[in-house]
Amino acid sequence: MTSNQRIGAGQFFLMIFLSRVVLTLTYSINSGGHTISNADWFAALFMPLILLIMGVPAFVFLHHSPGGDLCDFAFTLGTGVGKAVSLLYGLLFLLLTFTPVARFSFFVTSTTQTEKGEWFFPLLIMAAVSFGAAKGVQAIARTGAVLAVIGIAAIAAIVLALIPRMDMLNIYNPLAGGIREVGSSVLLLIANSLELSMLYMLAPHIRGSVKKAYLGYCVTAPLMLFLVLFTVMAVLGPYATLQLFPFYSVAGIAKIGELTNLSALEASVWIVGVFAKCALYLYFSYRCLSKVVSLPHRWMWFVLLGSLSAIAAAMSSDNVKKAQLNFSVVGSLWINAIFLIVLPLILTVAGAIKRRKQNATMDSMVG
Amino acid sequence: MRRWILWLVSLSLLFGLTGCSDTAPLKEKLIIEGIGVDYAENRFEVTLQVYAPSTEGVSKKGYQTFSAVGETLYQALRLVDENTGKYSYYSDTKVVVFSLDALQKGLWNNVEYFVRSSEMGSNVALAATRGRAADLLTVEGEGNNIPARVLSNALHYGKSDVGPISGELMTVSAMLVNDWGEVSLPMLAVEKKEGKGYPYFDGVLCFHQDTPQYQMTEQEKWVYNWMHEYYDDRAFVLPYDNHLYALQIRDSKRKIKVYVDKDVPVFTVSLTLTCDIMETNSAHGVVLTDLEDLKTKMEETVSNLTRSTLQQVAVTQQCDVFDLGRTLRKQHHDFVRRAGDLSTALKNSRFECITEVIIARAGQGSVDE
Amino acid sequence: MEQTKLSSLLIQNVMQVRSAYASSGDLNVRMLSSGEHRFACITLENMVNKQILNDMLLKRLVRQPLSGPPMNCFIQIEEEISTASEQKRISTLEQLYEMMASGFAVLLMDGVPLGLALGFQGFPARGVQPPENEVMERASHEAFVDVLKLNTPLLRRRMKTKDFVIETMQVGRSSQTQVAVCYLQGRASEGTVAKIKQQLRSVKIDTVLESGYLQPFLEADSRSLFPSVGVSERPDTVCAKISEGRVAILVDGSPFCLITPFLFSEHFQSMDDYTMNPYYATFIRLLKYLSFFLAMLLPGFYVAVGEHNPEVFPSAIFFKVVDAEVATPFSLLWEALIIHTIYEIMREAGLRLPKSVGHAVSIVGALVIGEAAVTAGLIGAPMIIVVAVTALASYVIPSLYYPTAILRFLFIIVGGLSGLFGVVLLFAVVLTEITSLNAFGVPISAPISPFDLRSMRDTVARLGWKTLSRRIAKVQELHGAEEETR
Repeated sequence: MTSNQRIGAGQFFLMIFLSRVVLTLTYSINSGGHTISNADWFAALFMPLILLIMGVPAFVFLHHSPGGDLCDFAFTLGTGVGKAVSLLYGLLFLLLTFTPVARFSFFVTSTTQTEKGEWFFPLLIMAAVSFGAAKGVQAIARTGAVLAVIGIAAIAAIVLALIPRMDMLNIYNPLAGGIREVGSSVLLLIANSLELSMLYMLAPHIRGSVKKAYLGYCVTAPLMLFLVLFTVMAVLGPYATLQLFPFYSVAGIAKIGELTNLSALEASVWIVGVFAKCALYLYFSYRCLSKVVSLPHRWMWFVLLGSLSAIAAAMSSDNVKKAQLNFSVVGSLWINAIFLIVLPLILTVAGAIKRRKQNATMDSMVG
Repeated sequence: MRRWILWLVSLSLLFGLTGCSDTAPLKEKLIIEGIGVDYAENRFEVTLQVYAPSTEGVSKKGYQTFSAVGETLYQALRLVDENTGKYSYYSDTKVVVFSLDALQKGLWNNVEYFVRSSEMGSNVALAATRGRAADLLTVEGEGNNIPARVLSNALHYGKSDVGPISGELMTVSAMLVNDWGEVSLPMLAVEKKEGKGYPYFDGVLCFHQDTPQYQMTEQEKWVYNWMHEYYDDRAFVLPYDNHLYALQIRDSKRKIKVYVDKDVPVFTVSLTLTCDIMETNSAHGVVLTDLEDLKTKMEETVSNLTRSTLQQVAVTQQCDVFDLGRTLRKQHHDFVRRAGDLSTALKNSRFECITEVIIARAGQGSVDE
Repeated sequence: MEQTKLSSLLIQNVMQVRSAYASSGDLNVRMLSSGEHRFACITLENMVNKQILNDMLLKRLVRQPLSGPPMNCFIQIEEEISTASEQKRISTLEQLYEMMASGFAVLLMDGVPLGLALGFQGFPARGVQPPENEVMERASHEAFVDVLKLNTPLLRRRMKTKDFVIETMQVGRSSQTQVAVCYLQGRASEGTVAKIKQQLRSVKIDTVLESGYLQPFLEADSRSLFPSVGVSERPDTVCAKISEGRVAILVDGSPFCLITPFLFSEHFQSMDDYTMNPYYATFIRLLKYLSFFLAMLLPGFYVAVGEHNPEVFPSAIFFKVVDAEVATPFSLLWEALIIHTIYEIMREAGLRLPKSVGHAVSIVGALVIGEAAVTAGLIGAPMIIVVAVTALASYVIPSLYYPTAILRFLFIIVGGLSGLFGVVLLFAVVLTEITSLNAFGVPISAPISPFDLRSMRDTVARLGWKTLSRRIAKVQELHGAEEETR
């Protein structure tokens, strides 16, 4: 990326935080068969350490990377490797683009606007997302920073408004269901940590300390998770297990002054979060896939990828069974493992071996 | 040029094919304020109280009522839509009233549709009535308030002789799906009597799978208020030493601890009541009794009353209207899982009560030391 | 462009000028002699102060016969006889035409291939008057006028430092309009100044009559709704911007000065903010931000919520909306579109009508829209309130009127078709549009995003002068500004 595409560390922090907020708000009881319980907010307390550990491969890669992103690094190992990695990550980011859109579409057609067809929101959102992505990463990061602050304020307002409705009788020993339940919650939270992929694409182009920004995320994101999940359980109790989108339902009970239903506020935070997050991922997808194939004009990429995402989102949210795939924990865990840990580590090691060979060759030539 | 065409085509597709025009405008919506559910002859009868906009010729009352009958609640509600040609809008629904007959078909059968509905708010008030639910929706209020709103306000804010009873959709459903397998549910009984246009509360009906319904006694209502920390100007009349003292409770706090002694739960309830002496009724004029004495007597009375009530309800009604099951689950979840049948566990429970009374104000009058 | 040098022969020069202005009837050529030398004084009708020309030059020439070599006489006139405070030696016909068109009197001498342009301008021009568009409660009452030479002193008086630079250049093939690029040397970025000058030189417009003609060439993205170039008719405002490292561009013939880079948050700032108590100034700023959001979002929000998400309304308002909508034949979307279109028609009519007829428009508007439409049941009363609040709010920030007017319609359409989520999504798109604009390397969404804490003391809030004076705020030092601009 050129210098006009550098973003601040604070903006990176807010973007990655916003991505997590969106996922938390989209928590559904359909999440891979997991039932919401007190184990969930308890599991959030382990996330700072887990996120730190999950970030290690990324920082190892960054330490060894000469300055580009993951795809650029792959090209240094060979054109074939570069194209293959770019294609894989391009498709990953495309998946990460349409999945939140599909979830949102499923949500809104299940709750407030049931009369809308399954195509409406994917097309609407992807039109906006494509526009945002075409503006470049700087614009997306700046917008995301503002939206993140608004989102945090909105969630804080909802949580504060719900304090009088909290019943501590709903909060019981999180280990009551056994370690398995806590483990299942932890796995769910790990499965929803794909926003770490931002590190591989953005980190080389961040002005400021990436480590501090990531550390901040490791502390604040689990805190936000904890607050949201704790609030849901404290207010709804067992009723949460009957709600498709518990935080949306709980926001409907919140009351601030004359406003007696804050569920629209929660859904608005959700959709702007989806916008910022998906615009960034769509941009990443373009960055990766444009290294594999070239199109005459830049705007064609955003039209093409936006259309593909809209189609994928619409088709994957038109019935409950397909929607459950969007929330699949096992699938997400595999994707996490492959794209956040295995592939980057393989590339890092391959890069280190290649550099060592090159140094040895140069030494022998000099000697 | 091509980009503009692309935008035009996309927007046309977006707004033409995706059903965005399917939204019903407000004038085609039935804004449902109250729902009454009755059951007779194996059918559900629903009565919907709908807001009527203030246009001439439609309704000067501000509301209209529609009814339909169906084999299920959903079927009956759908029939209203079909008969009126409008779309039901539940987001502004304030109250749902069930007749006893309907409730006896099973609580879940009655509330399931409302729980699944995405529009219905989680804090819709639920109430029960011995008579017909449809009749209850015709109560009058002050001004031009819709009866359903009057009823809802009365349920949420009104001064009944029992505090806010768990009658929200959320709390009712939560009890139905709690993980200790019991259903115990107090619901305010609301009635409309001849000659009285406004709704009045006629006791508390408790629902349980083994005990379809029973009515809370006065004694249980007292204890219910303390256990739920609801005070709100409750007057406690204490007969003591040939006097009758009316004590107004300012504040009540309670703590419940439970431990399991050889598979028997032992509940220890700690109550702190802060009250004022409002009135004494003495043959010898106004006399202020030794406050310490009065305090001790009150503490004994409350403790005994609480203990005996909790024991009695647990044994005779197999019903947990005092939320002890949730407390037991919170503090001893493993025991609840092992016990399986909470009803038996509660039946065998022991109860202890420690009360502290704080007399905040004693009013005017001479002090006879 | 090839320049035609002046001839030593007076008659040849005069013939060429007459030939060039053959079709124009406002050319004046006064032939005169002084001693043995012949002169021609060429002016354009009503561009020169004839009295001063006569007194300060022509009388002296005639009464003081000159003798000697022509060049010596020319120099004598230049240094001793002419008392014009501004004079310039010219050597080409093109310079002659330019000087004449600028109100100079040009003196040609037989035997000398040079001319002397004397600044005896006397063309009709508007005097310095109070500003019409940026009315302030407590600030200077001077505004720019249409003549560049009268505008630059207004700035120079306020920026007395020698670092204040006014560079002039010409734009427009036919109009050859004078443009002044003003900045503080050492504070404005050299790269930015160079880029601005380059952009101005690349303007290919034939006739530049107003600063607005040049504005698109300086914008970050001329297709964007939001401007990255500010406009002001107040010299004090322009000086304040210049002191923050910005560049001001004055155009001859226009009382509106262009300022760049111009941040989005500056639309909400005014001179009054800095002369008031900081608490009140902050309150007014917040009011302005609120007004902007109301002007842009309120109608769309109302339509979206009324049509698709009525659960957002508190019950009392909800029933009022229902009552209104049931009584009217149109949906909320169409009501909003109709009423806002009528409002824009009224506004445009009110702008163009003579003042004497102007209040007829407001009466008709009030009667037609306010009274009759509601009584007839065509438009609901809540919608009238929404329009009224929106209209008032949009005038709080006049510089953003045009973008908000267009976006308002967009929000209404999107809200009516897709509900609250569409409105929120479009808001995010608009926000992205604003954040994507960089004016000469400076993001216009700064200091809000990229966030710059130090600069926030004069963005939403306005801290006191004791705090503000601790540091000179420079636009190129904002977070996110490119390295080249620093």
